[in-house]
Amino acid sequence: MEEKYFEISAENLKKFVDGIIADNFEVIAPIDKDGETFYGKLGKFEEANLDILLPKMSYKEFLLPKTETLLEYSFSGVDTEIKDGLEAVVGANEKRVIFGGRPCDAAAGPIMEKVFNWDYKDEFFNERFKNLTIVSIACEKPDNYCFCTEMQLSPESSYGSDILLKKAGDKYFAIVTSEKGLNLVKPYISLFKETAKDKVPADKDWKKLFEIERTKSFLDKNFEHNYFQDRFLSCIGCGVCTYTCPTCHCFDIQDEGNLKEGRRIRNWDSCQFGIFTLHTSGHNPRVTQGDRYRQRLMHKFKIYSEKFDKYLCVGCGRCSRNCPEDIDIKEVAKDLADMA
Amino acid sequence: MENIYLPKLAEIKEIIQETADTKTIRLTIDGGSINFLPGQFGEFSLIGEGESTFGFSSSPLRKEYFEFSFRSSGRATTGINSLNEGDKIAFRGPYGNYFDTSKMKGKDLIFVGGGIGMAPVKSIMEYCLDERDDYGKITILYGARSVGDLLYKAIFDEWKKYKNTDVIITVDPGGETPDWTGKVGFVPTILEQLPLKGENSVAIVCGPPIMIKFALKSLEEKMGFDKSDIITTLENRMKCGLGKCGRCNVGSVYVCKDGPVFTAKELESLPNDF
Amino acid sequence: MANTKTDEKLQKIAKDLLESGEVSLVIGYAKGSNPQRMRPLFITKPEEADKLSFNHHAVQDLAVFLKKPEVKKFGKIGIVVKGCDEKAVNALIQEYQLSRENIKIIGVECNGVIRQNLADKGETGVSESTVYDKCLICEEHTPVLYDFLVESEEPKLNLSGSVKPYAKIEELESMSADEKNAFWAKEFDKCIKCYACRQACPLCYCSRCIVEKNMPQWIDTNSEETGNAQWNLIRAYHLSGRCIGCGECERACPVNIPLMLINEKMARDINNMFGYKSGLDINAKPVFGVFSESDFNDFIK
Repeated sequence: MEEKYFEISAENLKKFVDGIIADNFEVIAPIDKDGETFYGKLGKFEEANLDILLPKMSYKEFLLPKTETLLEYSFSGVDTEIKDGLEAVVGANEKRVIFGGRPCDAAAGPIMEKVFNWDYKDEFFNERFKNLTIVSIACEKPDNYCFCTEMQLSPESSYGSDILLKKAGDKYFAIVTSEKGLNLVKPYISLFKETAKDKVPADKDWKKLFEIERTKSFLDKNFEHNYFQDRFLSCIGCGVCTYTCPTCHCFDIQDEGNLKEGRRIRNWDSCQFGIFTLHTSGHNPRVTQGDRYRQRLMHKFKIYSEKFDKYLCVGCGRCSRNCPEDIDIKEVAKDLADMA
Repeated sequence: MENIYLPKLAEIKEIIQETADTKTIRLTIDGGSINFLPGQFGEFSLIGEGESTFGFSSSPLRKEYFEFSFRSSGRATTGINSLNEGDKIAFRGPYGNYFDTSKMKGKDLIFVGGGIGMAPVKSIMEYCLDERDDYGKITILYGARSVGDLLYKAIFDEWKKYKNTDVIITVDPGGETPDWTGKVGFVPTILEQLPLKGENSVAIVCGPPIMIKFALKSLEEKMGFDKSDIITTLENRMKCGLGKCGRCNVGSVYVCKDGPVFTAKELESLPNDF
Repeated sequence: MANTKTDEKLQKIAKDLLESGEVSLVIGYAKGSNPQRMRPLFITKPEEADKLSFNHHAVQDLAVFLKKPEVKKFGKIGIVVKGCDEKAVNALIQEYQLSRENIKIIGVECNGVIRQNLADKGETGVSESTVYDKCLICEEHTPVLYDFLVESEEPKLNLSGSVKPYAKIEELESMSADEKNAFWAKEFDKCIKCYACRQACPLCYCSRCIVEKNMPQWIDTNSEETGNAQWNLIRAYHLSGRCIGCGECERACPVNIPLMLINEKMARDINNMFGYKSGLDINAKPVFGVFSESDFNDFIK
C-alpha cells in the first residue's frame, strides 16, 4: 500500500485513542508505575506517558510471550492425547494496538519475522504479529545510549509501524503505511486531515558515530581476540540485556505436568546463561562469560545479517541502560568498529 | 495452519539393548518408516519428560522402521529408556541437512565410527550398502572403549557379507576380553594402518570429539584426504531443531539447519564454539 | 571530574598492592557510561590504577564478582567495598567460599549512594530522599572489616525521619493473609524469570542452581503464577539468614519487583528470633548452620 499522510491535532489524537479504547481495542502504551515506565494496558489516553524516551521493557511479550503453551497432553491408560496449543492463539487479540512506542521497538517486529519464517513458519509468532497494529511516535531527542541510526534505522523511521506519528508543535503528522493502519483510522477519519507528503517535515540529518559494518568486519575475523574475555569480566550473566531487548528471541522448550496431564511450553531463554549450551555429557563450548557475551555480539551483529540481511538489533539501548554493571553495547560496538 | 512444534506419535516396534547403557529403538509411523535422509535428526520425547535430539541410525531404504540409538543420561533420555515395545514416542522431524551421496557415487568410501558416534554413521553406511554397486571399495572402521561398549555387535557379520567391503572392529588398549578376535588400538591409530588413500575417496567420521580430532588429522596429513572429502556430523545442544530458538548457532551457521552434516573444510571455518 | 582525595588514596592503595604483587587483580569502580554512573573496573597492572574512582554513584556491589571462576583464577584479589558490600565478603568467608588470606579488603567510607534510576535522570544530590532505603538504615558506613580504609569526603547523611525506609514492610505486616497474598501475587506476576536477582547477588553462588535441576524439576520454569512464586519464594528462603541487604537483586530486576521488602523482612525476623545479623563477623557460624539449645522451635524438642 502506498503511504498516506494525515495531520491530527493533539486534542483529536486524544479523542482517537479514547475512541478506539471505547471500541474495545486493547491499547498497550507506555504507562508510569512507581517511578518507572512500562508498556501496559491503557484505560484512557491521559494515562499514557508519551514524553519519555522508552519504557524499560520492550513489547516483545506481545509477539513472543514469556511463557507460551505449544501443546497440551493427557494420558489415559496407554493412550496419549495431544491438544494443539496454536488453536488458542489463532484469532486471539485481533484488536490489540501498541500505541506510543518508538521506531526502534516497531522495527523489531519485521526483523524477528525473518527468523520465525525461515523455512518453517512459526504461526504462534505470525498470528500475533498479524493481529497487532503498531502506532509509533517518532523520537525528537534520543539519548546517549540510543544508536538506531548506527543500526541502519532512524528515530523517524516508519519501518515496522502501521502508523508513524511525528510531532510538530501542537499537532502530529500521521504517516499510515499499511492497510491495518488505515483500517484503524477509518472510523475516526473525521479527526484526521489528509495531507501531502511534502507537507510532512523532512527527517533530520541524524549522524552516525560508527559504522556497524565495521563492527561486523571485526567480528568476522577476531573470534579469539582477548577483548571479549577482558571487557566482559564485569558481566554477571544476569540476562537482563537479552530479556529487555526487543529483538532477542532465544527460547527454551520444557515439558511440565504430572502423571495424568501437562503441557509443553516455550519460555524466554538467554545465551548469557551458563547452561544455555551445556551438553548432558558435561561439555560446554561457552565456558566463560566473555565467551557468552561474544556470542550475543556474533548473533546480533554477524550471523543474523548474513542470513537475513538485517542486523538483530534496533539500537534502542535498553541493554546498556538496564545493565546492572553498566556495560554499554554502543560503546562495545564502537570499540569493535574502531579495531576493525 | 500448522503448529511446527506439534509432534507425531510413533510406535516402538523393537528395542535392542546394545550395551549396558545404550539402546537402539526401532519405530514405525502408520506401520512403516518415514521419509528422511542419512545425517538428518529428529526430536524425540516421552511426552512430559522433555525432548532429546537423535540422529537416525537406519537406512531410509529399509522401509519397515526407522531407528535411533541413545544412551540414558539426563531426564529426557531416562524417560525414553523407561519405554517398552508397543509404547509411543513423540517425534518431530526429520530436520537438518544430509550426507550428499551424489558426491560419493563411484568412489571408495571409509566409514569411521567411535562409540555411540557410530549411530549416524550406520545410517549413511547402510544406505550405501543398500545400493552397493553405486560405490567402490567400502571400509568400515568402528571402535569403542571396550568390547562391552560396542554397539551393533549383532550385525557386524551382516556388514561383512557385502562384496569388496572390509569391516574392522577395534577396542581401546585394555578394553579387550580374553576371547576378543578383533583389533586392539585407538581408532585413529588403526585408521592410519589401513592401506587407504585419499584419491577418489570420501571419509565419513563420527565419534567423541577427541577421536574426530585425531582421525581428521590422520586422514588429512597421513592418508592424503582432501578436507572437503571428509564428512562428519556435529553433535550440538539443540532444542527446537528448526532454526528458531537460537541455541545451536555457531559462528555463521545454525547446526540444526546448515548442519548437522559438515565437511572438514566447512568445520574449519567455524569458530571454536562447539 | 578532577580526582578527589578519595580517588587519590584509592589509586595509591591499588597501585602499591599490584606493584608489590600482593594481589594480581584489583576490582574497583571507574567512571561509567554517563556522568551519573560508575561501573566496575578490573585492573591487573599498577599503571591502570589511575582509572579508579569512588563517589555516591558507585551503586554496584563488587563482591558479586568473587563468585566468577574467571575472577577466582586470579588468586589473590584486592576489592573496593562499601560497608554493605563488605558484609558480602564477610559472608563469603564465613561460608568458606573465600579465604581471608586471598582477599585484600579496600574499605571505603560511604555516606549513601544515589538511586540509579534517579541518577540517570540527572540527580546528583545525596539526601534521604535520593538514596536507597538500605542507606537510611545502614550501620556500616565504615566497613566492619578492612585491610585499608579510605575515608569519605562527603558529609554524613542527614536523617530527619521524614522518609521511612522500607515503610511498606510495616504496611504489609498489618495486612491480612489474603491481602498480603494479593499484593505479592501482583508483584510476582511481573516476574520474567530472568534470574537477574540471582546473578546480581554475591551470595547466590551455587554452581548448579535449584532451578537448573530437572530430575525432578523442583521449580517450575514457566513465567506464570506457579513458576514465578516458586522461584521468588525459594530464593528468599535460600537467602534468609544470609542476605546482607546490598539490594543488588532489586536494582537488577528489570521489572522492578520490590525484592528488598522480602529480604529486609526476613532479616528482621531472623534478628528477632535468633539475635543474628548476617555478614558482621567472619567467625560467626551461619544461623541456619547451627543449632542452639535455646532455639525456639518446639517441634524439635
